[in-house]
Amino acid sequence: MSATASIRLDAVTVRYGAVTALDDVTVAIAPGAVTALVGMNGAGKSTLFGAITGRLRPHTGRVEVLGGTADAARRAGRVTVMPQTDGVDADFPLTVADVVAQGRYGRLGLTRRLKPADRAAVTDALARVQLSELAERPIGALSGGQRRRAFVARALAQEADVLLLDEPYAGVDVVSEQLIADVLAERAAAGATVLVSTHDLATLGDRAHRVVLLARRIVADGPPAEVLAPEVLARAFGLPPASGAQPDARPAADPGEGRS
Amino acid sequence: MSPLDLILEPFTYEFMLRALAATTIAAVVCAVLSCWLVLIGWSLMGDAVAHAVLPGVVLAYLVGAPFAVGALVFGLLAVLLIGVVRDTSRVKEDAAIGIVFTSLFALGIVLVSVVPSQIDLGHIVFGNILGVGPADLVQIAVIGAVALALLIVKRRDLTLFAFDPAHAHSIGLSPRRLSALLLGLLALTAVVGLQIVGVVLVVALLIIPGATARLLTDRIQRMLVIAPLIAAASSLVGVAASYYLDVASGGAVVVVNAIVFFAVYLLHPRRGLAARIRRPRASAAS
Repeated sequence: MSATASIRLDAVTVRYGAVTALDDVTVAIAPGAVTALVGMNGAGKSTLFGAITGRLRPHTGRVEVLGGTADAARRAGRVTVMPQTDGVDADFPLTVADVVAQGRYGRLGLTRRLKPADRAAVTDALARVQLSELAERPIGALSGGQRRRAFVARALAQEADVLLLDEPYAGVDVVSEQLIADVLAERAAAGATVLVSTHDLATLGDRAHRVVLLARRIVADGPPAEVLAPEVLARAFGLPPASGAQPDARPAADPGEGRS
Repeated sequence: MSPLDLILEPFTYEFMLRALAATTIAAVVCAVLSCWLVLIGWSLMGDAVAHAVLPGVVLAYLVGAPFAVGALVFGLLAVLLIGVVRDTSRVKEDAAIGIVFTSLFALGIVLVSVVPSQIDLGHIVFGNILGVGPADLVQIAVIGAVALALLIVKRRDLTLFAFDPAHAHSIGLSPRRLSALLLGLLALTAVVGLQIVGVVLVVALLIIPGATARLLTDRIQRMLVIAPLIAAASSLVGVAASYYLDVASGGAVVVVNAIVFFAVYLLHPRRGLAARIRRPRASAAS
């Protein structure tokens, strides 16, 4: 574990009532790299994100973000979360530019009025995800992939040091997917901490520097080539090695599903 | 006599002018609030809070406190109780809302009947536009101005909260505080509207203008202008109509709001029902 980690979880346990969502998780995420968080539904990926943003309080253990508490980093606007789009009303009466501008709110005054520098940041972010021409369209008029790019642009406009993305590639067209992957690689190269949760193992090798397998606790952690080896996956998800990638053995554990 | 003179003639009477001023203020504040309520899906919550403030109003009258204080306390109490019942039992949210607001409303009715007062139950339930006195108007104006100012200052935060509370939280805003602000203003606005159109119909002012505006535009910034304009115009026409037709003023104002909504719903050039029926294929493709 690197001494310069920007996110540290130390023996973190989170429970919902009687259900343990995260069990004694210790992990350190380094800046300047894309880290993929892989696990089946209910593996605790969203819970882990919640602990990093301070939305969820661990029952035991400690979370440190950018050298301070999760709440401090969040309030300083240094953390951005990109939700799975299902969470928001796609038909909301806002334009694409309005949504991207929300990334700037943390640094604006009482009424969140945009200044010229903020407008410039919004314009740049839209250009980076190739949505400049659609800036004045209602957010609901975009395709799924374009909408996801709009949320990536909002995260860019925020200029945060830590980017958390929940399934950014789920249900996205190929062009949008590649564009998002490029943007994330760029941010990581510029020194940001990028943590991406995903089901999609096929393209991880090119897109992540490090893969963390989560099943309520950390079951594997390392470079993609190591972690994504069939034996490791099989051991991690409790499958017999021969049927490593077969979904029928334990459907929810199939790491390749979930692109619908 | 021009149509405008016809509309304005009733307001040469001072009590009619006061009635119009009070109605317009209440309707405008309700309309601005309604934009967020319809977008969040809190229409039922608006209904609940509007009813639940009744015991607060009666108790405030009893101890000589301002109505707004009692309304605020009971409005927030209702929201709190709804959350508690929903989260700590098998009862789902719609049932929790139904249980809590009817219980509090019933308590209010019981209180009205036992508390010796000049509160007329009919006025609370159905409003009393024409009975608005100078002191009432001042109270309505002050509450309305405070609520409107807060809504305007916080409009972008409220919109973000309505659209994506998780992002609001992640950039350091407090969704909990924003929802409390919205519900608190809802309670305040309900007590204003209650004096005008009554507990039952104040819900209409808290839903219809925002819903009408949503049909007319795809930008919330425009909704926040269109909704109060519609509400203000409907107040003028409704109060004037009640004068000429000698009908209940509160009801008339709401009926005008409803007519505007259904006119837009049916006749909007692109999204109206009539346009959709005329070109079914185009609407299926959009």
